[in-house]
Amino acid sequence: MDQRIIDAFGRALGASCVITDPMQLRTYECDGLTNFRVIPALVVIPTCAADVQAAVRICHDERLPFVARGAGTGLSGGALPVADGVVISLTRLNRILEVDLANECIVVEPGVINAHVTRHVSAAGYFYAPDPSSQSVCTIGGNIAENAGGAHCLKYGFTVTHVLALDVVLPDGSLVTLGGRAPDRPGYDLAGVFVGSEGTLGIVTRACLRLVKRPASIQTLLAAFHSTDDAGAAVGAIIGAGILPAAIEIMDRLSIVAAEAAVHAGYPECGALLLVELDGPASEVDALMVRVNALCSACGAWEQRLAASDDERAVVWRGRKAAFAAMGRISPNYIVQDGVIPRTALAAVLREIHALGEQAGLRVANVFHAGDGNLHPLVLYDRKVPGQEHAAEALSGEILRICIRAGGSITGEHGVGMEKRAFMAEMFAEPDLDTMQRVRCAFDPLRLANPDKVFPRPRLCGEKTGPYEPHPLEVAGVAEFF
Amino acid sequence: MTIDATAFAAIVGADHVTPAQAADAPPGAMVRWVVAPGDVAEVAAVVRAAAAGGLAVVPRGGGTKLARGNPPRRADVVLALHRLDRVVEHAHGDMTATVEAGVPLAALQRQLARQRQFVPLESHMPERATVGGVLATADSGALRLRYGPPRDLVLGVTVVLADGTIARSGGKVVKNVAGYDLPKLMTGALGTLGVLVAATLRLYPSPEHEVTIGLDPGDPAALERMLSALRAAPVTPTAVQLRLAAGQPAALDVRVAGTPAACDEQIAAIATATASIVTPRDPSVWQARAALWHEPALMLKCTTRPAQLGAALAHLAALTPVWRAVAYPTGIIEVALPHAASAIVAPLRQALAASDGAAVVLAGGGDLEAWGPAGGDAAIMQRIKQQFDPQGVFNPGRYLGGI
Repeated sequence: MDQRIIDAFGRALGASCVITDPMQLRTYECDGLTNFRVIPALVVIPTCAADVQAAVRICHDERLPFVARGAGTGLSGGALPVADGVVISLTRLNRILEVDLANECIVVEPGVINAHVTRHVSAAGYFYAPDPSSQSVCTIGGNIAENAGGAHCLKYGFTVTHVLALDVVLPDGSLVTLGGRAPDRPGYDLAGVFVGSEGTLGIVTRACLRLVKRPASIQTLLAAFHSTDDAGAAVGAIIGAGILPAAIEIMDRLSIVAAEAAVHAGYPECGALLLVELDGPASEVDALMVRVNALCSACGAWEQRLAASDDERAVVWRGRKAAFAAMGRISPNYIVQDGVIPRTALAAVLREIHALGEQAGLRVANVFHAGDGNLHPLVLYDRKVPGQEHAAEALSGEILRICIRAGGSITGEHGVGMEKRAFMAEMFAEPDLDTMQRVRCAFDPLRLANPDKVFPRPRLCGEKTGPYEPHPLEVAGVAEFF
Repeated sequence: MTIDATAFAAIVGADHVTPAQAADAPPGAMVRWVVAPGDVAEVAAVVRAAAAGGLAVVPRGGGTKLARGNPPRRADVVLALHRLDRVVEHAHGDMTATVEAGVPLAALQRQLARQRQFVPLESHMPERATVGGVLATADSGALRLRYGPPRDLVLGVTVVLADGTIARSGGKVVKNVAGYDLPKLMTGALGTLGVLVAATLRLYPSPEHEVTIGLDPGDPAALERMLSALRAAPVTPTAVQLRLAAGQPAALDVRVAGTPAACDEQIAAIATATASIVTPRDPSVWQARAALWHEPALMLKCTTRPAQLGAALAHLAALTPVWRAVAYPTGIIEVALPHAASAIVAPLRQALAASDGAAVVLAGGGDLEAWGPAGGDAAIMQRIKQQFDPQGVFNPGRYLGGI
């Protein structure tokens, strides 16, 4: 990159906030999806909203593409850099600015870690509901970009449900507030559109998030079934009975084995595990749990365990949330997908996925948010076996096509990013995608903000999609992927 | 190019093009025809024809909210969507329904009730008000506290853009982050970006058992305490409202749902938390918001941060001796005022702005600007309008900031 431009960033942000060293730049070459790697020309690490604005202004003036980045835990390559562009890392904007319990909200900077929000207000009896599995490290800014979900969004909604207002630096460097702490601000719901735009409309510098009162009672049930079909039938029966659990998750045999090996959650050995969490007033939870038990038994559950304490519940959830990372215990490599199907299509789709896996000679593990039909098939493979990586990619693409054919979506919470751009054209027709582009053009006519993500386009130069290489930090044991 | 009724008749059939009466259009607009297409393709063809003829189009559902917004700068055609009234699919196992925009809300609820489900959308005149109209105006009521605003219930939409493009966004599943969330953009856009022709909605199970109870807060200070106690209490009411009128004590209505035992438990918790006597109330109290609309009035929707609801009500009471209102703890107050009270809107806006709030004229505003001042995001809204409807085909001038 031109030294003149590097100097401009240095003058605006301070030299300590600008990274040019090639080895350091490599730290930013990928996010949680490690098979896409691009080394950016420059990384800047602003410490305040004004510096974010200054950095974006320089990008705008110099027509430099920029990519915002939080903790880099995204699983779709949304934070993949642009080779001749700038990565704007938001990790130093990590202050909690205000807690307003009277209005049940909290104001945070984008680099604040998801779990820290809940930690900050739990003593007051509140929590922040969106809970992606990476919540102990992922940031609110990234959650907003991806419209992150989590196990509890069936009942509580997604990140977008919990964002009241955003301060946003637009791609032209202007700073605007979208939404507000009072409901229904007149005009278009721009905060609603911004959430989930995967960094293509601007950069969040401050977010006002809705807090939720902790329910009076929480109970978590583990039910063991012989098959995912049986567990799926139980999910249908529970929801069909008009019960809306806080979370309802299924793990299949492979993921149970992996999770057991990784975190020793003490899961029963079974073909499929159903995890049902109910919350609400104590007598309601008690009464509904009795009905859930009966419905599970009727669908073939041969063992049911209630996590009795907060600690027991934490262990149960640790196993579920570690499921992706745990795959490392049973397979050298894996691809995780994020397709969504109508919940009633669950059994048929799982059978189809299983058959495809057999055909390809690959194992597919399944952990999923069963209540909302959000599958997380994990295609297991060994990169060292010639052709397996390619077969795994092909299989994982076919799984997305199954989801589209079933009337679902290619992504429920991980985002399209770099990974699934091509599938957008299979899920949406050209006029649908063109209509989305109109929004893009209103916010970012120069296409500087995270260009080439989300929407289908030919690949760019400099983008490496070859075999996975471990990151130096991984090798050093400093970081691991989850 | 000039265009006349025959051009529209060629698309929708002569029976479905009628000369417009004053009541067909937003107040202050002179419309020539009401055109009622029979399907989405006809909607697109009508829009294309109108755009080609340089005509402005007012999309309309049941016509219960025609007074929303400012009088349009131009209005030639009312695009009536009442013939698009099919419930395309009620996927009760998936708790979703895909419906055409012209389905009346009450008719939809009746159909969903067969499977003991409902969509938590509300409107006055639900027999006439359509799903498309409720979404386009982002109307909400007491259910919002528990089920969220309308935008959170819309999983996908089909819209017809000003150039006749038929575009789909979102999907049919409850969880989906593929591409921009255009249902959010269309909800509350008052048809200024496109005509909502169909939507997929998230449904909920109908509560097995519901109980409405009442509390009588007495003076305003006690009301404030009661609301804050209710917010902090370990209860999850499905609806809460305040019924208010000048010179009368406020009435607070709360509805709880669940098993009978859980309802009892919640009612006891409410009584304890608010340290007040709780009495059963007739469910008809939930008609209070609709009742505000029974007589012509200056109707306002005031908003405030939830905790400033009491302060907002105090501002209102200080500004006018005659008013009726229904207020929600989400921070929304729907107010009925005498037409002569229009002078209070400006000072009320000023007072509410301090807590991020606004006062939007819903009906009967006459010359009043409907929305109040635009914010710092006005430029981006203008650019969005420019991208979606550069010619100003849909409702020109009716929306915020002259959009």
